[in-house]
Amino acid sequence: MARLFPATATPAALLALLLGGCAPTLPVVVAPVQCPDPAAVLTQRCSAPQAVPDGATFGAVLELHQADRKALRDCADRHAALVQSALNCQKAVQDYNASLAEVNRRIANKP
Amino acid sequence: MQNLIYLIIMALAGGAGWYAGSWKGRDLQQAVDKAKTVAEEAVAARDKIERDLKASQADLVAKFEQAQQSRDANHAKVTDELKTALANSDKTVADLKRTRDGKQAQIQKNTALIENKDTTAAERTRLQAENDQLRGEVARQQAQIAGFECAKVPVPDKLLSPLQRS
Repeated sequence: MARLFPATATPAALLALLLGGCAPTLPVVVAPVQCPDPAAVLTQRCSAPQAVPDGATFGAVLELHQADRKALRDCADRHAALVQSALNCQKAVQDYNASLAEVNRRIANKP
Repeated sequence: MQNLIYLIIMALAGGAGWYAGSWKGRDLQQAVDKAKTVAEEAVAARDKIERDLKASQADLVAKFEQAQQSRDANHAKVTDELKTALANSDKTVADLKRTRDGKQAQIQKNTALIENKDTTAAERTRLQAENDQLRGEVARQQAQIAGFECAKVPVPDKLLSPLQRS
């Protein structure tokens, strides 16, 4: 018996290890939603107002004002798009959290 | 012989253990299967959320870039309009003055007719109305002339300085 036990136990242990390797893996924790990096066009800094030179005429000031208005409009639209991008991401995370809550609820229920 | 008996006993014990274990572990296996299914569904849901998010972000960027192109095109157009208007201000002022002078001459002509005692009451009323309209047009043109002439004038320091520091 003393010789028999090690003789059978060793292969059995090896077999158990091998079969253990065939066991399916369960993704118990699902990786969270990854928000994509905002596009480069949405993360550009807004332009500062242009410098008004000494002795500028009323016409030159009008031209500067026009350029600044364009920069402000670009900035406002970029900011709005960036905010929308963040809101989209926030909604995706909320949806994901809701799906996790649903998963937890289903797992908690008896089969 | 004794070893054979041991082997048989071990095999039977193993079989009994297997049977008992499988019976007892049935619920566990079902739970594991369910957990696996739910986990796979969670992964699929996560992947769909990420796909939808990427699509919405791409759409957002595309709309922004389209609007940006539109803004750039409009800016180029209105910038050109302003530069042209400023560059042609002398000619514009000359045109406005010519028109204004013509209207002022017409007002004087109408006034002379109004003051003429041979002019009928109806004609006098019509001329008065025409003069009122012409005076309004002259005033508007005079303001335009002043504005165009002003465009070439340097902004006074007291007005420019606060703008420079804002």
